Amino acid sequence: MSGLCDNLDLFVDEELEPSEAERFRIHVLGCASCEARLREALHLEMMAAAAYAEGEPEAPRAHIQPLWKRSWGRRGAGLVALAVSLVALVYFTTRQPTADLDFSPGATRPLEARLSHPSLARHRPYVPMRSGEASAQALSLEELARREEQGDLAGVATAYLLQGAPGQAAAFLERMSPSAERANDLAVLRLQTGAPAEALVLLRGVWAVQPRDDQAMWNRALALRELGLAQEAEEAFAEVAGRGEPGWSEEAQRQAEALRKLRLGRQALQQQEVEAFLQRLSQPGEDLRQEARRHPEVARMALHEAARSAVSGEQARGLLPLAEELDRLAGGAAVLGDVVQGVAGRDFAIRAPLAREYGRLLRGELTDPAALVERLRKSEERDVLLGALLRTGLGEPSELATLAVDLPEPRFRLKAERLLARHEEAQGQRVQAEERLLRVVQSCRALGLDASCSENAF
Amino acid sequence: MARAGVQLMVALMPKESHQFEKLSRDYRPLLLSLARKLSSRGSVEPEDLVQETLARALQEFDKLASASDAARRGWLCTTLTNRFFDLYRQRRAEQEQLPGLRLVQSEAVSPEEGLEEKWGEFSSEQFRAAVGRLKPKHREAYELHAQGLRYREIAQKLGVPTGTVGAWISEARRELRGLLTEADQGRRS
Repeated sequence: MSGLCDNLDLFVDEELEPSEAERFRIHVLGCASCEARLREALHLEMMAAAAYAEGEPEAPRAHIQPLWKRSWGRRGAGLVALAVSLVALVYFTTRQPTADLDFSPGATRPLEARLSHPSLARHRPYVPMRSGEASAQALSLEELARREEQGDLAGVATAYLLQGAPGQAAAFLERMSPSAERANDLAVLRLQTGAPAEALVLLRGVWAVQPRDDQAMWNRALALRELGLAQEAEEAFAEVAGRGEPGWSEEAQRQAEALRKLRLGRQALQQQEVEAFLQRLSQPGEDLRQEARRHPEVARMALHEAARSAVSGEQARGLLPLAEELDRLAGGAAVLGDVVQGVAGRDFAIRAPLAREYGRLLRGELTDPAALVERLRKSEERDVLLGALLRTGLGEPSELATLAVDLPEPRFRLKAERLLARHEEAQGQRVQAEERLLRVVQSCRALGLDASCSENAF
Repeated sequence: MARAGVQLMVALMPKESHQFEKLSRDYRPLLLSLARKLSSRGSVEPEDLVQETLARALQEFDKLASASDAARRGWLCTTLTNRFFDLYRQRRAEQEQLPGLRLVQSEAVSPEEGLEEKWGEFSSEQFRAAVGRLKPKHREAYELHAQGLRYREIAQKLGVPTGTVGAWISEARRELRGLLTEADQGRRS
């Protein structure tokens, strides 16, 4: 307990100054006792408000709309989708009639994403518009003005999005009544402006109303791909392909296949590089620090493998110069230094036999990897267990997460988070899974890496 | 957008859609007042928090549709609080450029909001009965607070310093927690 804990009631009752309230919020994040008490206090408040409001005239209904009238803040944008999802239900029956414009006169389409306009439902191959090239779908200014006058906001917004003018499109989308179509087109807009995370969140507004919407499913796969989440994008495209929509299904199949090849190729290459580095690491007297500066992630993975398979404290300590160099390259925090020191301090009478077996697992010489995993589970050598689970795929995401959270290497946590997200997706908890994935992407960026930092072959 | 899909949705769900709209209308003011307590403009926007909570409610509507008022209230409160912590952590991580992970074991990941928790089992009548058992001063202050009065206003009405009001309300909450926990245990035994 700290002095800040005493502020709980004042916080709940909004009697703290804004700066004090913010300090309390930050405090609660790290104080389990305050979090529990706060949750309880809020339940009481909710019950009290309900108990003492009953019988009184109902408060006038708060208008649900203002969110999307706000400027497109980075955080706000994602939340707009959810608002859209709610209001979409309410306004569904009053939806404006579809405009009669045909946006698909050409044999190809200029946008990879899928817009909601009904005339764009038919598949046409994607051919990116080169800069300066006029779009076949471009409307004259007179036509746009006439459409706007008629209230065909969707038509005008579609025209602008097809022309690659998201700024102009936004002005019209913001004026439209909420609907699944609008949420989808807003997501396309965010894809165009290089904000795939926001696009992903916006698409949830569509799911809430139309759980298996063709356009939104397509755009979701694109958003995942743009986020660098190759495997998740691959699966999303495969799902689209399975829907058998003529043309779209085949294009999705090709996308999924291309992503799979890219991912597997990247993994195989990385695996080879790590093995080569590890090989050199086992040669006595070789200074690999310069090599590490060129390929820090490869060196990092190799170092973890070397630490897991070291059979003596002395051998582990030999990795220290490389670990320190990698820590220096990553900004100075002693992450790998701590890993190596931690390993060097283990009791090798117990660890060495397990480390030897792990070395054999690395070289593909082990006939029964499951037996090693079982032995490691009974030991205290958690870093080796994590390595064995990642290598053999024998661990449940929850077990990996439990192990990863105690180890200093943030990439393990990211990998575990990614696996947990996949698990959640498989359980049908898509929103939770996506939120987790977005945090992973954000964390990878904070480490100066792309999303593939969570799929490293440790 | 698949127009057939839209029509199907409208055809299948007019009743649910109406029920959800009602839920959203009934609980929104309560949720907003709760959200304002937790968040502030510039951090997590209270309106956003409410929208996110209602969006979650929409996803879980099959469960909520048949639940009691008290259970729904409990669920909404837990969900709103969970969403607040998620969003606020995310925001702090962004501000500090920290890896924004809250890595926990899957058993403990964003606990699924259940309908069967303790706070979802007390009706408003039972709650008022518990308030009725508080010490008179505490009860008086707490009832005024529950009606939406600030400490300063309660202090003026009762002719005591604001600090005293805070202490009474705090004490009232402590007593209430005890009374409700006792009632809950009585019911379960």
